[in-house]
Formats: sequence, C-alpha cells, structure tokens
Amino acid sequence: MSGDGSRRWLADLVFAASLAVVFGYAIYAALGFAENTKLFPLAIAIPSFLLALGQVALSLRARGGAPAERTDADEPDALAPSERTRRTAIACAWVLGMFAAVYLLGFLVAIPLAALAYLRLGARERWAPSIGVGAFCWALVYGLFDRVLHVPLPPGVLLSALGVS
Amino acid sequence: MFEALIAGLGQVLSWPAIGLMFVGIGAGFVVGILPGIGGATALALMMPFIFKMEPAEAFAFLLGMSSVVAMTGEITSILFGVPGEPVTAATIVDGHPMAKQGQAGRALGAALFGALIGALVGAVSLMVTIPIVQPFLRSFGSPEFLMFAVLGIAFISSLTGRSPVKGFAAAGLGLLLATVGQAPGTSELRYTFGQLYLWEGIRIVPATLGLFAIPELIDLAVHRTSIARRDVGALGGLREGFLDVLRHKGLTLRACIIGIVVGVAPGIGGNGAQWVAYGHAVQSSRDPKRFGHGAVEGVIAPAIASAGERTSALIPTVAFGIPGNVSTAVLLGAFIIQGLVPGREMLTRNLAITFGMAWTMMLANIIAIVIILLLAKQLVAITRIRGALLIPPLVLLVFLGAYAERNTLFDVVVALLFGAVGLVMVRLDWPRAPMILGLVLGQTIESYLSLSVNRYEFEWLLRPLVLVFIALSLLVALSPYLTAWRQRRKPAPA
Repeated sequence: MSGDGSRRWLADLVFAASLAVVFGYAIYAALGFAENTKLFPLAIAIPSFLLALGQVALSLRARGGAPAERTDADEPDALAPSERTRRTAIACAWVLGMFAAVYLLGFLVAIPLAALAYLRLGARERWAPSIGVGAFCWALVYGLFDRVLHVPLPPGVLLSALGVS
Repeated sequence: MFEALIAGLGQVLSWPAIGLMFVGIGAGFVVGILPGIGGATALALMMPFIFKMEPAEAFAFLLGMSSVVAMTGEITSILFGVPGEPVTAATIVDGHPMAKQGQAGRALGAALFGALIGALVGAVSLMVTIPIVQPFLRSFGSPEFLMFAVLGIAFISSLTGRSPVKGFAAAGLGLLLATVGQAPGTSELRYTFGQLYLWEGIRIVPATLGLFAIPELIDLAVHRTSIARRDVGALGGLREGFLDVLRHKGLTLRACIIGIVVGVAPGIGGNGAQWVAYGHAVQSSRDPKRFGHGAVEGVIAPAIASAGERTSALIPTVAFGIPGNVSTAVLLGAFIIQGLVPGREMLTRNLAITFGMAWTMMLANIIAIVIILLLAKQLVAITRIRGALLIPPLVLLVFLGAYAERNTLFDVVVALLFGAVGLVMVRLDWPRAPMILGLVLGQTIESYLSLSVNRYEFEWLLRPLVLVFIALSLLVALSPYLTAWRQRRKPAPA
C-alpha cells in the first residue's frame, strides 16, 4: 500500500472506530433512560454499533490489500496528497479564523475585513476585486440580514468589552 | 382534486411567490453554472431564508432554484467539459466533443430542450400520480409509515455510497443525533451533557449547512479553480439542437420513462438516471461507435432523464417523506421548517401546496429556457469568475444561515462541527445523504415507533404490509452484496 493509501486506510479505520465508540457510549447512556425513552436510542445505537464494528473489521481486512480508493470520489484532481492536505488545513484555518473574527468583532465588522484579508493574503487577489467582494459581503450582511430580514446581529465580544458597539 | 390543481397554480402565480420564484431561478442560474456548488448545497444555503415565508412562497423559491440548477449546469458541461453539476456529467461525453467540433449551440439546444421536456413530463407525472397514491396511503397506519421510512433509509444508505455498511452506519449516526434533547412524550433529557443548548436538540439547518456546504467551499479553496479554463466560440445552432430532440422521439420518450422510474425509486438519484439513459442511448443506437465523439443522442438522453428524475423525485418525498435523491433529502428540512408533514397531509389538506410544487417546477424550467436563450453569451461570462472570489460570500451565507434561525452563535459552532465531520466523510468516501436523512427523519420515525408499540405492542411487526416492507428493506440492504456475489459467479470471459 502506498504512503497515501496507508494514511487513508488509517484515517478510515480511526473514523469507523470513533463511530463505534460513539454508538457504544450511546448504548451505555441509553440503558440509564426510562423505559419509554430508551427504546428508540437503543433500537438505533445497537445495530449501528455492530455496523461500525463491522466497518472496523472490513478496514482491518483491507490492510495490505488493494490500494485505497481515491480520496475524492466524485472528481479527479491533479493535486498531490500532501499539497491537498496542506491546502485543506489552510482553508479550514481561514474558515475558523473568520468565525473567530465574527465572535470578536461581530458580523458587520468582521465579515468585510475577513473577506478582504482572505482575498488579499490567502488567495493573492488584487486590491480591486478584494475590496469589491468585501463591500458586497458587507452589503449582504447590512442590507439583507440587518435591514430587510431584521436578524439581530451580535456586536462581537471584543467590541462590546471595549464599549465600541 | 381539480380545485387544488388550480389553487396550486394560483399560489405560485400570486405575489410574492412568483417574485420569489424568479429570485430562486436567478440564484439557480448562478449556482448551476458555477462548478463546485451542487444543487443540494445551494438548497442548504438557502434554507435560512425561508423561515419567514409561507409554504407556497418557500417552495416556489427553493424549487425554482433547484429546478434550473442542473439545466444551467449543462452549459459548463458542454462548453468547458467541466460538469456544472454532478447530474450533468454524462452530457460531457458527447456534448463537449460537439462543442469542440463547433456545434456548441446545437449541443446546448439539445441538452436544454431535452431537460425542459424531461422536467415537464416529470412534473406531470407528479400531478398524475397523486390520485393513485392517495387511496394507497389511506391503508397505512403508524407501523406501515414507520417501515416505509426505514425502507427509504435503506435505499439511500445502500445506494448512495460505495459501501452499504458505511451508508447504514452514517444513517445510524443521523438517527442517533436526532434523539439528542428532550425525549418526545416523557421530556427526559438524552445526550445533552448538561448543556442547555442541546435541550432543543440538534437543528437541521446548521447541520445541513455544515455537512453539505462547508466541505464544498473548502474544496473550492483547495482546488483554487478558475472555472472557465477555455474560451468558447459562437453559440449558433440552438434551433438545430431543439429539432434534434423532436427527431429522436422514441429516445426522448424512453429517457423520460427512465428519469421518472429512477426518480421514484429513492436513492439512485440523477447521477444514476443520466448514466442509465446514456447507456440506453448507446445500446439502442444503430451506430454506437459515434458515441463519445459527438453523438447528439448522447446529449439528449442524459439531459432528459436527469431532469425527469429531479422532478419525479418529489413523488416519494411528498407522498411518503422518503427523498428520491440528495437534493430532496435536504428539501425535507424545508418541510419541517414550514411545519409540513410529508405523507397523507400533503395529499389531502395541503394538496394545493403539492400541486404548487409541480407547477413551480414546470414554470421555472420554461422561464429558465427563455432566459438562457436570451442571455446565453452573458451566462457563459459568469463562468470566468475565479473560485476564490466566491469563498467569502459563501462562508458568510453559511455563518449567517446557521445563526439566523435562533440568533445564537452556538448554531454556527454546530455548523462548523458538522462541516468537519462532512469534510472527513467526503475524503474517506462516507456518504453524507444517509446521515442528514437520519437526522431529518429521526423524530418522525421515533414517534411512529412509539405509536406502533403503544398501540400494538410488538405485534405490529407481524402486519402483512410491515412484513413486506421488512422484506423489501432487507432486499435493498443486501442488494449490493447479492449483485457482487452474482458477478463473482459469472464465468470469466475466455
């Protein structure tokens, strides 16, 4: 099995085992519920636990067999697995960073700033489209969600603490 | 029945439903033409907008969008060889070679007119099926509905992924997540870990957004795609393509039937319909060697079948709460948001809404064709948008979509957690549709189970229809293994 296939095999095994743990815990917790309450969770968790264990067994059997299937089942891509993993980690970090910005600064301030930062620093876009998309995002938040839909947008923890909002 | 049919049309044509349908069509154009954002993802992204809408408005908006997504997806498939939607992938095989031979307009005409016919026939089949399904449903009690839901999950779990074991385990996870919060009837807390937030259970909107939208936008960022990588020439010959569909009447009819049959059978979806139809077009051709090199029949058949499947997939969704494909699985969330229960009520009390759905799909497809004909060149220009520019607005929609239902950032955290799970599932080839279906149907299944046990104890398992459904579910669950076993037994060609 190739290095990539081996990593994928291990990830698949860990995921299946994690599910087995989740279902196992669900069974254990459900045993403490009242009679009427535990029927459905047990009816789901017991067969699911067995299925997850079955998948663990299938994964273990596949070790050393044929190379693992492609990571992206739907579309072929030319990216090397390591590059793909690196870019995925960066993209996830940007999404989490955007959420952190929203939490600290609120949607109205964070979204245009995060959009601008992502496009300039992450995607290496030019200033004009970056500012354009940032402004579009701000208009979407302010115009659609704040003014039209009247969604009460959170002010942001940091701005609230500073007394700015 | 006839009154409901007219009332359904009236609902769709009334303001603001008609306006919202146009908004949905506009969104569907953009989503369809941009590879990377699927129809199911788009539906998930739009879900938060329907909270304040009436049911007729909400479905005009959502179905208006989803019914044009694949139609416009044909444009990128044919012109650039990049599937605008997974359900338009088969069109590439012959459509893109036609474009390379300077017949882009003809291929587009054939695909779009074929898709229109498929959608219209599918919508009519939805309307015609209702009188047949109604008496059938009257003979159903809680145990039968319960088992029908189980059958639907068996279909989706068994057929949407490559491994049925993974499919069923994913469905189990969704069903289990549906039990989080206060138990129906007893109000006892289950799996809340002392968190007040979890008392109300896991919400469908943040879960759907996370599971479907976040992996797609991460993928968009990873691939750094520039959507249109090639230039396209003149778009003449659209009329010729329209006429091609009329010339191949037999193939058109058979592709319609394939689309409808696949749509009604839950779990196979448009991906299956298009390839089955394409295979049939090759098989039934007098000159199969032309296929793959620009045979117009190879464009017509998958376009029709895929569109027919999309519309007829609403039949099991509306009548039984069993989605025919991934998009309708996501659409089930809209039923819940709108307080509608798929099944008997949709065919009796809410029949006008059901007919309104069929009307929406018919009208949206007709409007889409007109707009495409008027704006074909301008629409192609949309594909030159760089993928990176789409990511901030998409992240914004995910965050605000998750937040807006209950105005809490915890829902955004839930969306992010589901996004992480969704990303892992995509990378490891675990199907996501069974999980979201389990989450959506979990409470309904639990209430049917509770009613069945309270009323019949465990004797409900011996009811004749229940036994039929158990047998069918087992057959569906085991079918991939039976197929593999039969193939292994086939003698190898000499």
